[in-house]
Formats: sequence, structure tokens, C-alpha cells
Amino acid sequence: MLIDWPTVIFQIINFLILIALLKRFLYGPITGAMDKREQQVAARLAEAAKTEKIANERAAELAKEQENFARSREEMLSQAREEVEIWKNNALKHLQAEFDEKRAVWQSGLLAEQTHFLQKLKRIINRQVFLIAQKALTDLADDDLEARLIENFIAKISRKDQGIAALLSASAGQITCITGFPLSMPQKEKLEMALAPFVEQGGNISFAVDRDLGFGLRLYSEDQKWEWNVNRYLLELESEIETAARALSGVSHGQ
Amino acid sequence: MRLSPDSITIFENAYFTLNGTILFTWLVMALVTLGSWLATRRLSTGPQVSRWQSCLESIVTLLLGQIGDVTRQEPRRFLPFIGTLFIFIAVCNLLEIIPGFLSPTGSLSTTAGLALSVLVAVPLYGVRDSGFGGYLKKYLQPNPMMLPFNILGELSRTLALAVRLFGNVMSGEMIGGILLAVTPLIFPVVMQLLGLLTGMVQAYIFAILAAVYIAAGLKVHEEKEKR
Repeated sequence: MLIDWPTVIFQIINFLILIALLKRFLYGPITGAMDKREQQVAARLAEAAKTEKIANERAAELAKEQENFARSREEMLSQAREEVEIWKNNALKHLQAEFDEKRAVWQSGLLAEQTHFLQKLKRIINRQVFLIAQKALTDLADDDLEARLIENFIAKISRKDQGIAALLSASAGQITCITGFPLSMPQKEKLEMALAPFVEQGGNISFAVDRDLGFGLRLYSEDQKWEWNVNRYLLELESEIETAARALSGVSHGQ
Repeated sequence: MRLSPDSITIFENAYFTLNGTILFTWLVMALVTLGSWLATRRLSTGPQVSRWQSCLESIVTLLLGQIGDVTRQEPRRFLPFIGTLFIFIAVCNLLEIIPGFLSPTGSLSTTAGLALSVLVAVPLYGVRDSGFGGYLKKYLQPNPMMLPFNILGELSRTLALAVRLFGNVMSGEMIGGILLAVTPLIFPVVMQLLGLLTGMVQAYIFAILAAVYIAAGLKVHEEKEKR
């Protein structure tokens, strides 16, 4: 017979023993190791997920911080630009004021120099004109210029020129004659004779010298005044020179 | 020609006869146990694993996958029984290639013992799963008239299980022996290689059929629960 029943029983027992042995030495350890590895993998995955979550949160925080930093930087830059603009405007104003002040000083100095120059020029011209006129009159009339002035003045009194006539008519007891040069006695007498008809009885005719008057003559009577002076012509000349100088100054500033 | 290693008597007394089947079975058991112990004594739970551990884990994972596919249930509780069936039969059939080794599965006593183990395991799993009464009702389905046929079916499939494995292994050995006598060169080697393949297939078929039978015993209970 092919089946040996005792052997069958032995084989069943052997098989059961083999099951127990393999369960002890193979399935148990292998499945245990696999379970443990799965648990480790699951734990690592969970840890990785947790780390990723933390990393994402940190990344979000960093992004927010970066955004805040960028905004703050922009604000600081804007504030700095405003401060620089204010400082620049103040500096420009300050510079402008300083410039204006220096220009005013310079202009004032220039004006003073110009005035000084014009005065100097006036004096020179006055002197030169006077010298020229005096020389011309001397050459023409063979008489000194002061005598011609006195004669001319006496002639005006005789003609009762406008102005002199008003002064002489209003004169009372006092007539003062001021000249820019000293008068000689004959000249004084001529003048007293010419003015005598216009002075009341007991009146007085006085003479005085004022160097500032230059080549001229001035009459005072009460509150009236009559004057002839070469300076008047010189003043006109001076005025024209000043006008010309200003015009030149304006051209130079414009350039 | 010997049809079975049962006929080889190694030791005998009044109470016990040690034949070739039992001896080679012990050898296989020792080999498998020793190999398992050697492979699992230094198991790693980290990412670095040894080749043996990787190989064993692959086998166990494959077994669990196959058992899960067949039973549609959590496979670990069936792993010791079905896995041991597969490993034992597979190792026996693989060692058949070694000259002088007679596979215990070439003995009808061994295959009958394994088939009887399956015959017992099916109701054990079924009873544990659905209770004694619940399992016995399966034999009365679809009606009590089917009771003899169900019992007959259980016995016949157990017999078929035993005879199929025995027949395949024994026939392989016999064909190899016959061819060795007729054409002593080359061709027997090819047949031996083919025998290795059929041996693995038979181990797979035996284990899968055992799983199917066990699952069939559980299925009644599941379907009842669904109703």
C-alpha cells in the first residue's frame, strides 16, 4: 500500500513542529522587523510632515518679515528722500539768502565805488570845466573870470532879470551876497552900488565867501534866494554821466 | 524502482520504524529552521538590510500578498500554516535535484499528511471564525440534503490534494529515472530542471488551494453576516 499511516501521523506531527519552528524563527522575526520598519517609516514620514509644516510656517514668517522689511525700507527711503529734499530746499534758501546778501553787499560796494568815482569825476570835470572856462574867458576878455561874473551879475541887476527882480523887490533891510571866491574891494563897491537902490535906508549889504559854492554867486534877502553857479551846469553833466554809467552797468549785468 | 521513500527503512524496532520519508523530512526541517535562524538572528529594522533578510522579507511579503488576494482577509493569521506548506513543499521539491535525496513529497504518506492537515485546518479556521454551529451549518447549505455531498466534497478534495502533489512529484522522479535508463546524457538533466519548475508550481498550487479551501470555510460566515 502506498500510504503508510504511521508515517502519515509522523508527517503531520513533523509538519506541525515545522509550523511552530518557522513561526518562531522566521515569520515572527520577519514580520516583527517589517512592522518595526513600517512604524519607523511612518514615524519618519510623520516627522518629515511635521518638519515640512514647521518649515512652511518658518518660510511664511520669513516671507512676512521680508515683506515688512521691504516696506520699512521703502518708508525709510521715502522719509530719507523727504529729509534730503527739505535739507536741499533749506540749503538752497540759505545759499540764496547768502548769495542775495553778498550780492547786496557787492552791489552796495559797487554803488559806493560808483558814487565815489562819480564824485571824483564830478570834481575833476568841475575843475577842468572851470579851468577851461576860466582860461577861455581870460583869453577872450583879457579879464579874470570873477570880474566877468560880477559884471554879468550887475548887468542882470540892471536888467532886472526874472528872479533877481523878485528878490530885490522883496528885499528889506538885509541883502547877503555869497561868492565862491573872495571879492576885491572894487568888486564889493561895484556890487554895493548896484544893490544899494534895493536896500531900505539903514539897510545892510553883507558879503561872505563859501568855497563850496565854487565859481558862482548867491544872494539872500529875507526868505528869497537867487543863485548863479557853474555847478548847475556841472550837475547836469554829472546827471548825464550817471545815466550813462547806469546804462553801462545794466548792460554789464545783463551780460 | 522505488515508488516512495517510505520503502527505505533506516531504523526499526517494535514500536517505531524510521523510514526515508521521515528522515528526509527531518533533514528538510532542520535545513529550513537553521536557514531561518541564521537569516533572522541579525535582523535590521533600519534602511540597510542584508541580502538574506531582503530575500526572506520578499518571500514573506509575496506569501502575504498571495494569501490576502485569495482569502480577501487579513493574511497574517494564515501565514504560518499556508506559508509553511509552501516552504516545506518548495524546499523538498528543490532539494530533489541533489543526487541521493528523495523528496518527502514523493511519498503519498507525506502528501496525505499535509492534505489531512488542510482538512483539519479548514474547519479549525472556520470554527474559530464563525463558531462551531455556524461552521457546521455550511454543510447543510444550500439544503440539508446536500450534507453527504458536502462531506464527500471535503474528503475528495483532500484526496485530490494529496494525490495531485504525490502524482506530480512521483511522476517527475519516475520520468527522470526512465529517461536516465533510455538516454543517459543531457535529456535527464533537462527533465530535472523541468522538475524543479513543476516542483515550485506544485508547491504554489498546494498552498493556494489550501488557502482557497480555508477561505471557502470563512466565506459562508461572511455571506451570512452580510444577509
